Amino acid sequence: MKTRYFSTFQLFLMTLFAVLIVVAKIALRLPLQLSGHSGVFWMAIIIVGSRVVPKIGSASLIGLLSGILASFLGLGDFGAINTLLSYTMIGVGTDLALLLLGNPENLFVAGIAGALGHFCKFLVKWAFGAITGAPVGFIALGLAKAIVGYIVFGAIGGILGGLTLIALRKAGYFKYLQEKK
Amino acid sequence: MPVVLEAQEISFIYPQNNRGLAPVSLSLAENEGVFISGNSGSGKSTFTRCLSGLIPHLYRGEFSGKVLIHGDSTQDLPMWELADRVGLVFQNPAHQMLAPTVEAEILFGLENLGISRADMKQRLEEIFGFFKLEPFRNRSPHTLSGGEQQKLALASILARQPEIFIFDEPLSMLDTTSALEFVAHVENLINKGKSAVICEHRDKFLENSTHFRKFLLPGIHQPPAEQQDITHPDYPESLDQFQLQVRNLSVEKSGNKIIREMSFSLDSGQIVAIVGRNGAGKTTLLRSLVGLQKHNGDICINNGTINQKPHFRMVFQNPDIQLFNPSVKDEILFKVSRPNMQRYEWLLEMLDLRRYEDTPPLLLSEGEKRRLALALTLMQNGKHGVLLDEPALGQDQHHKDILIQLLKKLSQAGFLVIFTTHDLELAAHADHLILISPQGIVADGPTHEVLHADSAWQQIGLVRPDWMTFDV
Amino acid sequence: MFNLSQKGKTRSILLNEASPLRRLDPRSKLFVSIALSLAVMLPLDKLIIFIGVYIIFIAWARLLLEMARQTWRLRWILLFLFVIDWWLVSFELAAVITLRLILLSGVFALFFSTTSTNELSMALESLRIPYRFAFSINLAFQSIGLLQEEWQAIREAQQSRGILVKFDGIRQLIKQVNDLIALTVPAIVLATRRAWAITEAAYSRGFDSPQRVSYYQLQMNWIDWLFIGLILAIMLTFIFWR
Repeated sequence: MKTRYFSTFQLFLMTLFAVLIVVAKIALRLPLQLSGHSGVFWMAIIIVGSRVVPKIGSASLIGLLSGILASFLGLGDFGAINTLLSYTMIGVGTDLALLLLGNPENLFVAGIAGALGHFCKFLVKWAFGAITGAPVGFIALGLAKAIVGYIVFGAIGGILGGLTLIALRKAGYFKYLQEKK
Repeated sequence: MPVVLEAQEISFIYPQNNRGLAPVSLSLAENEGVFISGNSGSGKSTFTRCLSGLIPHLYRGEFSGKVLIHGDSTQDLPMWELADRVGLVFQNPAHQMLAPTVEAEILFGLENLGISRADMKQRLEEIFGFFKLEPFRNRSPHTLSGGEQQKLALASILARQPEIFIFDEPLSMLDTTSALEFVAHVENLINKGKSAVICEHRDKFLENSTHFRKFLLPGIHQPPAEQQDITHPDYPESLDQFQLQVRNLSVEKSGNKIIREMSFSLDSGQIVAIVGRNGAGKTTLLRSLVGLQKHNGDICINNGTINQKPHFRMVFQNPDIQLFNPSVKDEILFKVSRPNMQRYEWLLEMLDLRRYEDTPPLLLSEGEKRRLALALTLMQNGKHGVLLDEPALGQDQHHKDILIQLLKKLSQAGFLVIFTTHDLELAAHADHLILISPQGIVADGPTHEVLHADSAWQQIGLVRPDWMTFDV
Repeated sequence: MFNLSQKGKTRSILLNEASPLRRLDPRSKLFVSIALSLAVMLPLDKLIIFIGVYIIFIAWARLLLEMARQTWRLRWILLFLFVIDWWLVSFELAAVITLRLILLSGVFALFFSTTSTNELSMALESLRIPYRFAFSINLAFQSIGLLQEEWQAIREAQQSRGILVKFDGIRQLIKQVNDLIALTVPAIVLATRRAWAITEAAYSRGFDSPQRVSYYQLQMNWIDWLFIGLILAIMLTFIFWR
């Protein structure tokens, strides 16, 4: 077997995790009336993905793949390119956060990484506003929502991801994974 | 005849649970068919991975011995080159579909051969003609039935024209008609000079064919032989008598009528089998009974004086959708308030799970996981009984025996036990049999009567081969 | 094709088969989408004329209805921004920003709603993206329906064991976050099994072969070049015309 940065199995794993994000995003309808609530499962899956494929860049790749899917499905309000970038940035943000913070099986780390990763989505909206020259309105529109939604739900999602990883380890998942190249 | 494949004392141990394949040797000649038999846990799947080279190319673990294909060791050739010589067809037809259309599914393998586009086109058309796949060309493989998918899996390997075919339990998910058709295709390959190794636990489909030499896989874990003689204790509780009444049940999903105007009634204290081909609405019927499916019509329980809503528990087809706890014990008792420990002990005993009480569920074998899913469902209080969706899928005879014994104990305790199946030998153990087709109920009555209602079987298109015996 | 329902409305990858853009190479559509989006740099007077030309183009491409729907979905945000920017800065800025947003939020639909997922992966391959990545994207699209069914099955099965799957408030969500692993663990396990099954199935049909030849190939025709040329000419006119 040719050795590569991501093995084929890891690549397919990340692909299906990206699909899970889109599926959870569509299936989850919280009656909470708060923006960012979909971040709960979203961040959980990204955090889990970054450990299941324990290499730098795995969260970013999951983000990018889910962004391509979401763009084709017409998810998100600001059009395809905004969707693609937001989804990708969530992955990149999580990768960076975990690079600094370490193992998300520590729930504290997981929560912070989830909040930071999810917050990156807001940065894309802000950049989008900057390009169109609308930072004033965008910040007014964004801030209130971002602080409550993005950070809180991102953190809950991160913790859920951490708890999932701990449960997966106890259930023997990583042993199962270990025998596959 | 020249030898095309030779396994020399090969063995493999998985690091996760120390199971795998005990040392075994096999040689396969050109134009020969070998049928590998063995219990669950004897390593049939592992053996197919070793023969095709997936072990050691894709798996980590302790591999020893040598597999030679046309004289070359599988360890020395890259995986893509091995795949040109050996084609592998897997157990679950749905899991090996990887392209958006039937045509693309076949092209996937052809493109990797490095042949010219003209050659690809020619092979593609030949295969479409041979397997009569033309009507499905632009359909998604996931919309095909299990039998059609398995045929497509074979077609996509055959198009690559390898000399050797390996099959990993290809019949386990198929109904009788599709299974017989599939075996005929494999026989045809051997007639054309190809060699085939087929691992299967539905022995009779192959034992009755003259094309295969039988080879018994020794296995590491032998189930204790005296298992059959143990008399199990009865279910520790009992239920009052009642009758399940279903009147004019109809189900519509996105404009399609899945179930139309179905009416029947069933007394408690019996085992009922629901048999039909793919798409007849078996699972939908169970989902309606348990309350998961929106439906029209009446479903109620009558205990002689009053009508009430039924309260069943359902065992789902795929055990993996429920398992997440760190041990078998935690899994069975999860969210059960004030668990009845007498019942818990009984379930461990009946389902042969006691030695796994502390084992993480994901490390169990498929059969064990199915038994665990059954245990956790029965631990919940179902007032009227239990529904099982295809409980025999992928199970060997030993596990089917365990299952039947358990269902009998439950029905003796007054439960209504209903299961769906395409396995006629399992259905023969039921007290009552309902045959369904997309048009509705075709036959409904005591099992021994329905089994011999020839016109009904013809109507739903299920074959009952001569060698299949229904004496219970 | 598969359907996805979101908030009661069905979302699906429905190709706009009626659009004349269906006949173009995906690469030229990608180029055109990027080129058109550069119009956000135009000042208000030019932008108004450009939007006029853009609408005619969209109408020709039979995408007007889709674009209108997209803009309608954004109506409250657009209104809010318009009012804020007008109030805090000027009417002119508010108008420019609204038009730019309408343009940017819709222009990539030119590509996404007229390109099949298969064409996308071929386009990626021809843009030198390694085959296994292009294949992965195709695999992702096929898996949406399957994983959605699995997700549904997990929810149902766990709900029948008394595990929370509906949320009424954020407090309850935080309190019961532990229960949610009953959904995430099986979802991850099933996705992993599927990924492994696909890996095995792909390798046993020669995946990763260095000799691979694609059966179908994308081809840039004269009509693609004509189309690209036309759009380039329009864009240059707008940028340099005074």
